[in-house]
Amino acid sequence: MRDKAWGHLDNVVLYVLPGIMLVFSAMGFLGYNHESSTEWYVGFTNIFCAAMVTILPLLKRKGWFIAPYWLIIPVSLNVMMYGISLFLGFYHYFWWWDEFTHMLSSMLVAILVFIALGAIECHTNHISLPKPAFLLATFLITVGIGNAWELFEGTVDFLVSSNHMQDIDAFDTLTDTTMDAVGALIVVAIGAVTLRKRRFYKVISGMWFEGRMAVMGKRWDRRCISPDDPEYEDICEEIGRLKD
Amino acid sequence: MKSSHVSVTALILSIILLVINLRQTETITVTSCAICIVLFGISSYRSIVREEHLRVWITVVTLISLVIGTLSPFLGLKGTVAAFLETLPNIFVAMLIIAEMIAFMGMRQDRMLFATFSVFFSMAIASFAAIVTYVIRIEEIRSEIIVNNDIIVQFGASFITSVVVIILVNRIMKKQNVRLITKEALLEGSL
Repeated sequence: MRDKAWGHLDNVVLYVLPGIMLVFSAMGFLGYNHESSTEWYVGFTNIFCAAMVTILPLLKRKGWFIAPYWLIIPVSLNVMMYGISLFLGFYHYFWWWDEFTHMLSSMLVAILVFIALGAIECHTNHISLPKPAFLLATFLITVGIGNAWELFEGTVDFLVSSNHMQDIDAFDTLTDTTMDAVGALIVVAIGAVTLRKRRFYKVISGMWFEGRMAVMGKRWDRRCISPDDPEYEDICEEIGRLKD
Repeated sequence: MKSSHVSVTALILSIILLVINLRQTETITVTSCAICIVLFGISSYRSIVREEHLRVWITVVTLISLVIGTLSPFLGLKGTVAAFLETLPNIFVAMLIIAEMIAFMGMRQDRMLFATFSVFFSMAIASFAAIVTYVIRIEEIRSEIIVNNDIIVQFGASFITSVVVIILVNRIMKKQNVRLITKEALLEGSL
């Protein structure tokens, strides 16, 4: 199954893209970056970006989440765009760059959250996410992830003892947070229209190896009920059957 | 006292707390109070119309955390300690949002999903509080009375508080052998 899904382009995404980020990281540590950010900050951020870029391809290689190219490549490029533009000083040259990248990233994160929640809804019987709850959760989780990103930036800044984040005015974090919410809202609005078409659930289901995701869903269902429940044994049998 | 009365009382109390916080320009607690007004408003309305009401303890714990958040400036607390107390309501408001989603939208969750949603929702509330700060206290930001570090400390405090509270809540739920949180359990059941 894995061989069928794994193509040459996946090798590029898994090895070449993180490689590029590591090169930028090394150049950052060596001080070739734009002087608007410190060497350590750029270096560590690019290492983090390199690690982030490998997540989706690794999940695909393991067969746990078969993300299509239309999702993997924009997500990877978006993560790379952050690290590289920090290196080149785009945030210094263009006032709108920061806001633009935050909105774009937020939209991509919202798509990932949307798909993840859709998968839970598709493959479990005991967990239920009705449409309004589904959309509200997508919006709030995406804004929450945006908050986590700001926290990550602040923590890295604190750890490498740089003053990049600490002493600047608060507009930076506040506009970033606002743009995160705007990006999430756009995707939720598109999602609300998409959810009217049931076919979207089929698209979500097709992203996973059906068997594996079905087993995962059944295991989740099993965790939701007591071992004394008569349904428990049935679910165990079904998991065994699906595994075979 | 009926639970529907608790919802209405909570609604009135949240409005009072909102006014106090607005006078103090405590934007973090203002955000939590504003969300609570909407949530308690919905549960009061539904309670009166359909006799549906959330479990009283969720409402009471959220209100206590709001009172603590409101009182912290009066106690003269500043810096990190104040940030922890002011962001304490975030996680309880997040749990209240999930409770309302379960009770009134028909969502069903297990413990793990409940914990994950709670932490992310709490962080989202911290972000909304930051946006409210942006709108209400823009002059203080311009004159650099509020700097970036203050916002980051609040985000961090909110995250740490949320994780600690959710670990404790998860332990309690595990002890009570709660596996699935459903509408029935929240409205009338044993939770």
